[in-house]
Amino acid sequence: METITTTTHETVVVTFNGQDRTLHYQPREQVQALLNRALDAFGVRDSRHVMSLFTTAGAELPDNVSIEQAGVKPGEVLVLRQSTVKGG
Amino acid sequence: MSLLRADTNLLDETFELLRRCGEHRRECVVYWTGPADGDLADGVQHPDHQANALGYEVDTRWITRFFLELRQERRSAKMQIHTHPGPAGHSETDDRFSLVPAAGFLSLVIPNFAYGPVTLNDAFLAEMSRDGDWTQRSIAELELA
Repeated sequence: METITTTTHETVVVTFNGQDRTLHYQPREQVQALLNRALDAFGVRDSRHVMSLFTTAGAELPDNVSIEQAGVKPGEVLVLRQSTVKGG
Repeated sequence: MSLLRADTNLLDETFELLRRCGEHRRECVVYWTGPADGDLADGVQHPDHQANALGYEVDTRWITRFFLELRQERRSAKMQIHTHPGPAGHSETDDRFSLVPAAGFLSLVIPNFAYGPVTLNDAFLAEMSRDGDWTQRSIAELELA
């Protein structure tokens, strides 16, 4: 019996400082993978380790779970931002 | 070619906000915003934040709301402006935790809690490079008219 493996690609809109990028993802890949693509898409080179994806309600997505487990739905808008913004 | 263009009234409004909020004893921060495309700044946003004499931290919920508002209005934050108690400079915290750690974003530091004259003569200006480093720029590269 032949086994057919399918890969599902969905998209989300990631917004960062007023600009949007539409990014493809696979529901079972880690949030960290999507975060890395978002950082690359916006040319973020510095402070990458303190950047996260947030829902529009302000919930930070954990990096180490799948996008599906994080509750992300196709077409959803996610916010790319620093976890902490401060100065001194 | 300038890094950013703005009306001098925006600078007056900024100093007023920084002074009123900081009360000569706390740091304060604001963001200059403008149309997403281009180098014009025509608005100032004063975030929800906590501060003391040595630093500030922006409310996390405010950041998400702000980015969604910018998206809706097709605008972007062009420059962060914050005060220092003494001379202006860019601290390690300023380097690592800016609002927009991406190429072209500007960071302006104003000395003495902004209680000096309303000028940028003693301010410190830095721009994030494509490599993700902060590079000092001349104040003269800001076009205020």
